[in-house]
Amino acid sequence: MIACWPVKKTSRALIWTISLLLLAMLITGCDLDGYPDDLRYPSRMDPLAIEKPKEDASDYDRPGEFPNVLFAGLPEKQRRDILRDPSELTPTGELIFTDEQRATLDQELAQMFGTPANPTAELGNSELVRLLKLDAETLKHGSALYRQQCLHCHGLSGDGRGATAPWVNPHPRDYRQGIFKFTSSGQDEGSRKPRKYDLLRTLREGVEGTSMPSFRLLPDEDLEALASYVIHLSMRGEIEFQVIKAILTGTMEGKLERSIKEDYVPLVIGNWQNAQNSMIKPPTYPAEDMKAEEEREKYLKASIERGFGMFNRAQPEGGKKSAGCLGCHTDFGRRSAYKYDAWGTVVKPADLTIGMYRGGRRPVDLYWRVHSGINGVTMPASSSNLSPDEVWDIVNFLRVLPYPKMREKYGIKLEQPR
Amino acid sequence: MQKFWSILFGGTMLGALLLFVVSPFVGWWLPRNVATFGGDIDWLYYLILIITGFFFILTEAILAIALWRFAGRPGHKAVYQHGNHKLELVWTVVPGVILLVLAIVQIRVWADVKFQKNMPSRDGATQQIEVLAKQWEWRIRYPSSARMADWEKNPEAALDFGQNPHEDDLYMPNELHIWKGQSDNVNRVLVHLKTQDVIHSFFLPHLRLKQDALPGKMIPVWFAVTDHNTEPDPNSQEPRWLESETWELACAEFCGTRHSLMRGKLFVHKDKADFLKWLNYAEAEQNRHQAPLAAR
Repeated sequence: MIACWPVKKTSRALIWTISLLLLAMLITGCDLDGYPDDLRYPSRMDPLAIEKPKEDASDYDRPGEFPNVLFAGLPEKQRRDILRDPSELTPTGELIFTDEQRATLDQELAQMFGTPANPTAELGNSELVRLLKLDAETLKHGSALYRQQCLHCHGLSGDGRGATAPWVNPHPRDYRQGIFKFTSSGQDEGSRKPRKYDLLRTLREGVEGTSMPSFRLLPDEDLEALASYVIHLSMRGEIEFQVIKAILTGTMEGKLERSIKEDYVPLVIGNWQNAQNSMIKPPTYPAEDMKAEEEREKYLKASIERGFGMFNRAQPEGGKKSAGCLGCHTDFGRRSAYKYDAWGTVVKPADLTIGMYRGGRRPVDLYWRVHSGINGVTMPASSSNLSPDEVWDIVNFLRVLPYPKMREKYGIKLEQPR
Repeated sequence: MQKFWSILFGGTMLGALLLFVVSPFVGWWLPRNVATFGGDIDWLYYLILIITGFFFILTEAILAIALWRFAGRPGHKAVYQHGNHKLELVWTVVPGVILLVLAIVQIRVWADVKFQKNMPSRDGATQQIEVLAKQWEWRIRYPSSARMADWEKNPEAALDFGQNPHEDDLYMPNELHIWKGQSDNVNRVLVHLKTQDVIHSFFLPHLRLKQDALPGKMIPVWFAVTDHNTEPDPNSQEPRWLESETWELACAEFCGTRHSLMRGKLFVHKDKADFLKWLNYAEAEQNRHQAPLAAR
């Protein structure tokens, strides 16, 4: 019947093509189930940021430039030293990280972590699997959800290089370094991992002031599965990162297979395991037990004054401490200088006068930020310098800083921004 | 075979019409209206639907008939027609008049919903909330219970809510909580609508309310509801929707890759007491000085 259409041959071909395409779209539909079975996690090809430079960054990156501008602005030699390319050559022109080593690493990772469609955590540690819910069923559910909700920013392997990544600033987190900014665990910086609760908090609340939205409307079991899958991606990515870093910097010892199994896997999963039960429990908030309004007000007034003082002193004076905030949060953060972070991107210390808190606005969140700093950026821990009550003083001060009426009430002067 | 196009077009249009006629009976129609001004908006919607529907069927029928009647025939030469001045005048003036009539008829409803002078006052008698749209969530700021109590004593103090966040205001992503009020004293809600990045559109289908959020502007939006959909949950501190009353907040302006997932829930509490119970719970969560034991 179609052969006798009153149209030319070329148009007929066009009509056929369009109808077949439409038919194909109808038949295949929109696939929400998960990744195809034969898809594998890609082998890491992009450069590794192995160190966080101390210098300030000169400028932020423009939309669309990420990820080709990591550590832009640093002198070329320094940049080459801290941003290592996996395809670097030796002076004699051979690969440092050889194809053979890459194949071994990929195979080991695939054995432990499976594929995107069927993720696993075969780490020989059933306690960890139970603790973090890394069983195959949860991970499969998490992977399907991740594909719908997270993939377009955070990427297939959790590399933070999804399709939208160059266009949003701050850029999506790259999980493969094993660093997460907002944590409540009491480990040392460097080995510090988030508790699963920290990831769930970020999922539920989003990250205010960034492109990370809240996923509050997803049911709890979905959020749990997403957090499990993010941990899975992070473990896989960090083992890969640590091994390639060791090979490039010449610190890899012994046979690669043995080293992966006996050095790097225990290191990474050990840190995750330790984090889970190491929550920093803030000591009782001093005003918690104060029943009388008057007493509470008196405490707050004195506490805020102490916090303001510690914040605003560049150096300790006459026995009074400095919390050292001004080094980065210049003019309460209104004139902060750009800094590099551990991922090679440019960030800015928070403007503390606008009342926007990326790691959460609860007092306990602020306590954790001041107490142990923010991972991967220049915000240091203050726990060696400040006592818990002094941390509360800073928190109390920060909580009134953005509000003109509160500043007036507690005598905080904020000059016009210069 | 020369009649193919008339059959194709006529058939497609007939199919579309049939689909349209059956849709109310299979649940593909407007959701239940719960806004005080929703009835007026629905009335306008149906008026426009009837007028445009009538002319749609009329013009499509003429098109299909013309395609059938004047299909090309072998050996027949087409006739050149310059046009018909009278006919053109008719199909320009008639829609023009209809448009003018519609424009006049809708003024009252438009003024009621969108004119700032008809909106609830910004003093303490109104429930005020700030909605900040961003890619891709709704971040909603509520006055704290202490601030609301202060407004009851001093209504003037509420005037600056939109510009002046307080340290104890509650921030809650994707959950819009209001209360119903009584029939003689409806709770008129005033939303201060802002956006952090691109254009979004604040859309409450059950309230027949849609308003674009524009970067750099604070746009007031008001509504009042005639029914509630939320009850306290005996098993949880968080309230829950009544059975099958899933009232949604959605973004109605394409705003990026995750636009279709930019959603929220509208919780309408039975009365102010229920609302305050939720507010107190959410405030306590936001004011935690200690980490909760459970993983949430």
